Amino acid sequence: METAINTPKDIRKMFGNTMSMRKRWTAAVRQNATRKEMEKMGIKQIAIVK
Amino acid sequence: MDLISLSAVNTKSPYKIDSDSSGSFFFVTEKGRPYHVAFIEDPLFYEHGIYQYCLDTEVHAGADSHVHEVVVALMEEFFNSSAKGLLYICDSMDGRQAARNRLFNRWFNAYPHRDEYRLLQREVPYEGVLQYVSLIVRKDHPELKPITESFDRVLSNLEYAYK
Repeated sequence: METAINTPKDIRKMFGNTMSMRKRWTAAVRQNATRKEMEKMGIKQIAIVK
Repeated sequence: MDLISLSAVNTKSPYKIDSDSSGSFFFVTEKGRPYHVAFIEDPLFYEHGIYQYCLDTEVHAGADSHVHEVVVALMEEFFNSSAKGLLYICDSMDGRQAARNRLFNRWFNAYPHRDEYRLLQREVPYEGVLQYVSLIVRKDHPELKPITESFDRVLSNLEYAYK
């Protein structure tokens, strides 16, 4: 399902979230955040299985 | 659920890859440099199934060609999962995003199976800085067309927002 983004303001906000996502993940991983803590911050990573 | 198998990645990776407590991939090079890699779900173009690729190392001291091989192994297993696409935005914190984009393009063009993938790319201004946005989708993915259309529509609107 595609994302319903209609207004330039929505898009700026979404793109801002995308841009900040890596910074937030980098900060979290350097602080040894757990996967659960990351998910609470809106960082949802692909699942890993052994 | 989209998932990546560590055992499958480790059949191809020159360094052993593990998962750490943060849920990210983790490996250490032969020179002792630790790396973290993540694929983070990003709804920018599609509500589900597109992931942003992120890599971090706190130590920057010279190139290690094996890191490229590790990244390729991870990306191949990523595309073996049910994920729909891989988003990569070159880090622009130090102003070197153009150089990163050139390196990414060199790596992609050198990849033996590149013809199985569609590489969508766009340079977009954001807060006064040019950002290099790439999205990789398998050519045989059934949703290739709507994903491509969404990529074009969203980034065209983003450019319009700054005019």
